[in-house]
Amino acid sequence: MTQSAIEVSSAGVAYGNMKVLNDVSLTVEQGTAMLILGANGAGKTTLLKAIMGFLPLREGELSLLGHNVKQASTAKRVKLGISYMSELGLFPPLSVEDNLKLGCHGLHRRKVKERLDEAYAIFPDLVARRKEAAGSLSGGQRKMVGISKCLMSHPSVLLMDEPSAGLSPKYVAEVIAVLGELRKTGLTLLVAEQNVSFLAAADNACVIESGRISFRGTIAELEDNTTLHDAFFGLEGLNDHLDS
Amino acid sequence: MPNEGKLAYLLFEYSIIAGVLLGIFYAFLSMGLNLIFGVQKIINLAHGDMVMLGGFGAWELYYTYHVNPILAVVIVIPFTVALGLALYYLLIPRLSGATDMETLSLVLFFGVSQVIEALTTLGLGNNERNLPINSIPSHPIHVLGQAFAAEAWVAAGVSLPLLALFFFYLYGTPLGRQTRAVMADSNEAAAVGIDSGRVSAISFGIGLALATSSGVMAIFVLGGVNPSEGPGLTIIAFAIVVFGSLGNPFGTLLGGVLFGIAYEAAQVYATSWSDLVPLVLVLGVILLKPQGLLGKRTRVV
Repeated sequence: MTQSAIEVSSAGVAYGNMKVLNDVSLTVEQGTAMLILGANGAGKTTLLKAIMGFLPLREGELSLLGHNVKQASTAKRVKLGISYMSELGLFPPLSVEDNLKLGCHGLHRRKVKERLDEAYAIFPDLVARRKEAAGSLSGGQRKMVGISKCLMSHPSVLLMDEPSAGLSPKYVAEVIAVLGELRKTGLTLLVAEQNVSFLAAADNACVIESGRISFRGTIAELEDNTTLHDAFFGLEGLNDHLDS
Repeated sequence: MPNEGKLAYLLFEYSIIAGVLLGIFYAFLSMGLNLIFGVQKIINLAHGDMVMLGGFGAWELYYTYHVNPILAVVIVIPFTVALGLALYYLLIPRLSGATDMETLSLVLFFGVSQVIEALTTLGLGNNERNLPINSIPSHPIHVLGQAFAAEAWVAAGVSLPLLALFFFYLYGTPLGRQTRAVMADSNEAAAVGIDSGRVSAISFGIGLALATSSGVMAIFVLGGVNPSEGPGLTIIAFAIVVFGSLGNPFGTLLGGVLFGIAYEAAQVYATSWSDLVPLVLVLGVILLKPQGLLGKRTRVV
C-alpha cells in the first residue's frame, strides 16, 4: 500500500476567534493530483497555508509523507519535500535567477547550477530574462518562474494556490500543460483553484464551502454531481470541459 | 580675484564635491536603519543612539587603548553585531505576537533610545567627546583648485568600502539573497524554507554595526558626539531612508548623496537654514513621491 503524501484529519483552523476551517479531512496519495475547488473565501488558501505551517491547526492532525507535522515549522516541512507556490509565487524585485536559486537555497553551488540548467530546460524562455526582475515579466512568465522556483528543491509534493490568477486563457492552458508534464515525474499535486479547466490535470477533486468539505471524489464523480455541475461548470463550461 | 560668475561657479562646484563626500558618509550612517526596516518592518528609533555609541567607543578606544579611529571603525563591528543579536533575541520575540508590530516597535525603540542616552550620561557623563584632528590624516585635499577638509575625505573614504562590502553581502552572497527575499516578502521566504528569524537576527546585528561604525566617523564629521545626539541623528537617517525609498538600499545611497549635496548647498548659500534640509527632504518626498525617489508602488529591494 502506498503511503499518503498528504493526510489531513478533522482539521480546524481559525483566525483569532473566527473559525475558517471546520472538520476538514482529505487524503492525497503519492503521485496523484487533487484539485480543491471553492468560491472566494471558502477556505482553499487557508487549507494550503495550514498544510505549509503558516497557520496552526487548532484541531485535528496533519501528516506529510508519513510524518506527523502538526507541530513542525514550515522550514521542516520544506525539508521533507513539500513546496508551496502562493498566488504571487515569487519575489518580484529579485532577478529570475535569484528567485530560482532561493528555491534550493542551502545546496552546494554545483548542485544549484545543475538545478538551474534543469529549470531552463523546462522553461527555455526564462534564459534570456534570467537577470531581469521577476516582477517585470508577463503574468505567464511569472507563473513559470514561480513553478520553476518550487521545482528547484526537487519536491515530492507541490501545493499551488490559484495558479490561474491573473492569467489569460492562453497562459492558463500553458500552465495546465506544464502540470501535466510534471505529473509524469511522479510529483504529487494539490491545487486550489476556481478555474475548472484545471480538472484536466487532476485525478481527484474536493470542494470547500464555508470552511467545510462538501464533496470529495474522483473527477468522474464530480461530473456526475448535478449540483456541483451547476455551481462550477455551467452548461457551457461543462461542454467545453467534456469536449476537451 | 574671481568675478561674480566665477565665484558662483566655484561655490556651486564646492557644494557638489563636499556634498557628495558628506552624502556618502550619511548614506553609510543611514544604511543600518534601512536594513532593519527592510527586513523586519520596524523603525529603529534608537539608530542615532547606536551611532552616538560608536563615537563614544572610538573615543574610549583612542584614549584608553591608543587605537587609531580608522581601525576603531572595524573593531566596533563584531562587538555591535553581538550586541545586536542579544538585543534582537531579548526584544523582538516580544514584538512578534503583536497585531500592530510597526507601531509597537516605535514605542519599544523609543524606550531603548531613552535608556541608551540615560545610561551613557550616567556612565560617561554628558560632555561632548571629540578626538584630535591629527588622529586621522588631517591635511586638506585639493580638488579642482579648492581645498576640502581631510575629515570629509576620510569619512567618505572609510564609508565607501564598507558600503561596497555591505552591497556585496546583500547582492553577492547566499545569505544576502535570503535577506533580500525576506525584505521582499517574508511569507514567500518562509515558503521556500528560509529561516526568517535567523535572517532577521543577523540583519539586526549588521544594521546596528553599520550604525556604530559610522559613529566612529561621526565624531569627526559632526565635530564631536554627546549622549543626547541620538534622536537628531535618527531624524537625519530616517529622512534619508524615506527620501530614497524605505527598504531600498540603493535608495538610501542616492538619498544620502542628495542629502549631502542639499546640506552643503544650504551651508554655502543659506547657512542658517541648513538644519532644515532633512525635514524639507522628507516633506518634499511625502508630498511629491510618497514611495521615495527609487520607490515603486510596492516596496523594492
